Amino acid sequence: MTINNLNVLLADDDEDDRWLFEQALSDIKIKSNLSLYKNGKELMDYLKNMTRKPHLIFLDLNMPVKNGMECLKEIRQDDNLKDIPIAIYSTSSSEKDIENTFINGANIYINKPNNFAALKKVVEKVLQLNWQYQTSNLNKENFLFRI
Amino acid sequence: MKIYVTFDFNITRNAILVEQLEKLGVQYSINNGAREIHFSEKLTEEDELALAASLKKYGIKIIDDQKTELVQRIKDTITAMLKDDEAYLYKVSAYLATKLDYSYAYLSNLFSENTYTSIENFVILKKVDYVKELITTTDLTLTEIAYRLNYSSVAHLSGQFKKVTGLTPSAFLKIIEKRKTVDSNNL
Amino acid sequence: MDLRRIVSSTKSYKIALAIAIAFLLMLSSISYRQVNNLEKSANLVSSSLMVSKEINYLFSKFNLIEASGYKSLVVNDSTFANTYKDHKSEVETSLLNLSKLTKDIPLQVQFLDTLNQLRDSLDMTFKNLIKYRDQQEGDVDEKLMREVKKMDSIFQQLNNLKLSISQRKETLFKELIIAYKTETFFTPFISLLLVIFSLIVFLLAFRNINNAHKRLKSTQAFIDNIVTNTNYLTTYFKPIRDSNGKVIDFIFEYVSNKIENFTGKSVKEITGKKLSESFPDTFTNGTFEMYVNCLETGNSNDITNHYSFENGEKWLKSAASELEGGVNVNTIDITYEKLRNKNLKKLNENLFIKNTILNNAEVVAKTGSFSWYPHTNVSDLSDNFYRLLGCRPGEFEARFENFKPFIHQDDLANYKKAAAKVIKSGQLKENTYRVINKKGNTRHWRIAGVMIIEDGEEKMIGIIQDITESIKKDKQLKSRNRVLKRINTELESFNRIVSHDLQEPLRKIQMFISLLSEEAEADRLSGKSLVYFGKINDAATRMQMLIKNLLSYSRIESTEENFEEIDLNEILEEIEYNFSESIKDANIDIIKKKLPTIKGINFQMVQLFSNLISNSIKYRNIHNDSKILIEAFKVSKNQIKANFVKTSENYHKIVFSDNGIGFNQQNAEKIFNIFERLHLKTEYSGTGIGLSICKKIIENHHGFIHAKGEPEKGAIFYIYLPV
Repeated sequence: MTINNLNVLLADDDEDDRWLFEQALSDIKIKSNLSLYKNGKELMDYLKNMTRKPHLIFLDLNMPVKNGMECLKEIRQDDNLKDIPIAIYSTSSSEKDIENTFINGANIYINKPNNFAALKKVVEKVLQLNWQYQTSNLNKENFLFRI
Repeated sequence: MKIYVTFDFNITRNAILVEQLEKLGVQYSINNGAREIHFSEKLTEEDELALAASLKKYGIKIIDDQKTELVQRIKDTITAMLKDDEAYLYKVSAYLATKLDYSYAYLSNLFSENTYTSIENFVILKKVDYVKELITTTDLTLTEIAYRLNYSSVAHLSGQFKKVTGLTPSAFLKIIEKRKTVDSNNL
Repeated sequence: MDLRRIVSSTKSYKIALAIAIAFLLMLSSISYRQVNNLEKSANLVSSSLMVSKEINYLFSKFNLIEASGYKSLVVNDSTFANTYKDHKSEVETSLLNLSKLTKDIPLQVQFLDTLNQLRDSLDMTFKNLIKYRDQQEGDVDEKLMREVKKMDSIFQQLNNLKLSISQRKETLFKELIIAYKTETFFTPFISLLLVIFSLIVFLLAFRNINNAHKRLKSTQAFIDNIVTNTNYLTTYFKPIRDSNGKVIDFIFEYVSNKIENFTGKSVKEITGKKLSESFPDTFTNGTFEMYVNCLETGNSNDITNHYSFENGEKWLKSAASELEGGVNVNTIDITYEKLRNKNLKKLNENLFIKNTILNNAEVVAKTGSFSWYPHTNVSDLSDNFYRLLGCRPGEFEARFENFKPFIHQDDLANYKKAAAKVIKSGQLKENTYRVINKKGNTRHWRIAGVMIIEDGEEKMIGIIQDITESIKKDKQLKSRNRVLKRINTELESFNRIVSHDLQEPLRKIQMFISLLSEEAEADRLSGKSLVYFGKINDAATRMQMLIKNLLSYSRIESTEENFEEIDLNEILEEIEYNFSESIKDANIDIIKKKLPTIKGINFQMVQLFSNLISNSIKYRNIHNDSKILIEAFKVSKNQIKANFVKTSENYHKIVFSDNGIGFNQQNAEKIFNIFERLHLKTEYSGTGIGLSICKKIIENHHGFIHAKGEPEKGAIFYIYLPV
């Protein structure tokens, strides 16, 4: 099976960030469908009733109602969802935050870049990595990157 | 209680293939590193569909696209190369060209077109993946791993690891180990 | 053992022995005399026997003469004359013998005279007889008869004489025998008696002397043993006198082997030597005078002196007494006692000082002490115990009943419970309770004690401390802690705000500026606008860096539980790799020596060395080939001159030096201050937080960092981390 369109989800409470992310994603080679959620609860509500399993979820940490960490934990404890790759997409560069998300099952940690070119690069890299982990014989247990 | 397992992909794959193919009752042979299966006679459509369905359960797909197949062979060759003790004698390009009997330029192009990444990047990713494997499942020290994978030094290994994964090998190992305790707490 | 008794008993036996010898001498003289007497008597007897024999011989001759006379008369024997002649000569000889034998005996001489007369008259008669017979006259017969009659009477007389002599002799003999018998009877008896007596005396004397000797021997051994094993040194001196009889020195007659222990000189070295030679000190320290005094007056005396011998300083106490014209001295080494006394004195002084200090300390520390005998309920309270209750020392008798009213009503039950526990377990755990002092103020007391055994009796000793102030302070501290915690929480949330909420808009600014710089947009902007946006971007980037650094600085918190083993060599390699591009660009040669493995927080260590290396890269001297040298040594805390609180015995000293632009030594401390920059903002990029972060990281790891700089020569950073 060839993945023609990656299903990508992003949960971020910041409208600008959502827009920037969307722009960046649309600018890169890899074709994808992006769904946007304003907070963790919206994302989780969608995931519980999903019809198509997403290929990748981008999670902001600092969100109202339900934050990224809570989502991460819930997803990792849900047998249906636990194999979905998760990229944390946060402003925080705190070592503690990074470690905690990894320990709780995040695959990728992205510090939100401060320029658009960098954002595009990062998003592309994440999609590439995810692509490799989906299609190549790589150990998903060790799918762990900080970008 | 919990146990940790590691497995050899090739053995697993061959075992599954043999198990499923035996069901058909048709003479077959597995060739070319389990990339090609030759049947002595043509399969019926029902048989082909049944085989495709049963193999899909194990994540094995029957591919008809020759290019996709070649990409897969490139990946497999790279995987094999990492475990080949004499591979370091060759450059990746030469190794692939020799093994697959295509020009490297062709392989490289084909690979980039189909995977959104270069062979070089994939080799590095694959190598790091192997390092991750060795770090987490063996008692080998970084020095030993660096030696085994023909890195010029531990620093080189650590540096590449850090560059690719954004983490140092020790930070990576720490996270994997802490994950295990978190997982066991959740069970 | 009573030596006197032995001596006196020996004396009595000596007297007995003398008496025995006197007896023997007397016995000898008596015996001699008696033997003499006996010899005399024997001689007398033998001579008397000789006389008797001679007399008998004489009278037998007379008888022969008589018989031959009668025979001649009867048979008319003509040979008679010749026979007579023969007999006569024999009689003469016998008479001559007799006179010889008896010349000393007057009685016999008289007898002999009578005999001679009778012989003469006999001779006359015989001559007449012979004459008459030859005459053949008528009256011959008559004449003859007369003559025979005469002869008869002579013979009669002779026989009478003989008889009387015999009788006399017998009487004399008898007397002699009686005398002899008497003497021979008495002499052996007395002799025997005396000999037996003497023998007894000798035996007794011998036995007693032997016993005494034996006893003396054992006594000698006993005394020797005492002398050898006693701590006393025994010496005996004989005085040396000058011509006026004045004692001028003493000589060592006897000295016990203790002398070696005492003075270091051997017995051989001392014996026979003069006191003045061996121990001249004794003539100046009064010892000699004491000996002399002792000798002259016979009074015992003692003296204590200090001596310096080869084997050390000694205090010796000597007791001297006169003994048989000499001085017997017993000396004991009292150095130890002297020392002990001295120490005891010092201890006493110290004790006094300590007591004084303790009393003062009690006042200062607001403590009091007590002792309590549980069995007798006898207590003793220190002065300050009373004072802490607001009382005068000793104001009430130290008994529980008197102390009880001071204990806070609510704590009384606990106090009693604790007291009961003490008696049961013998241990007093620290406890606090309240007392109400005389002024009516509530005070908090802490009590601690221990059970000891004093002279076999259980005793509790302990202290109490008025901790009212510290409890007050504790309360203050607690409230301050609460404030501090609140502030910390606020700071944390501030950090969070800075890290997220403040960064967020800044990042957006940067993000949208970058969007504007995207080719399509940039084309629409004027050159000026692009410059302005460039400026805005620079400012935003700078602000972002500041925030990032501030964040790192505030995030360095001491969480020792996260400390792990970190191989600094690995850290350095990692950093070198991270910086490989800028290192290459700046053409910096990094020389790393072997670095230690430390305990710490990994990312902080990475940050520390990253900051130092980026610092060195930033402030490199562009006119030189840049070099960074990193080396490490292990040092003990005493070897560290740098002044900081050293909690570890040993430290890793890491020296990080470069040959960059350096700095003025007077700024050595300033460079670690936050936001302190020594250079113009435009000249070198940086936020001025890097080294502050290094300092905070090092302090967080209980270490110390300081720097040495020389403008245009370079900077050296010294880092100390605990081993």
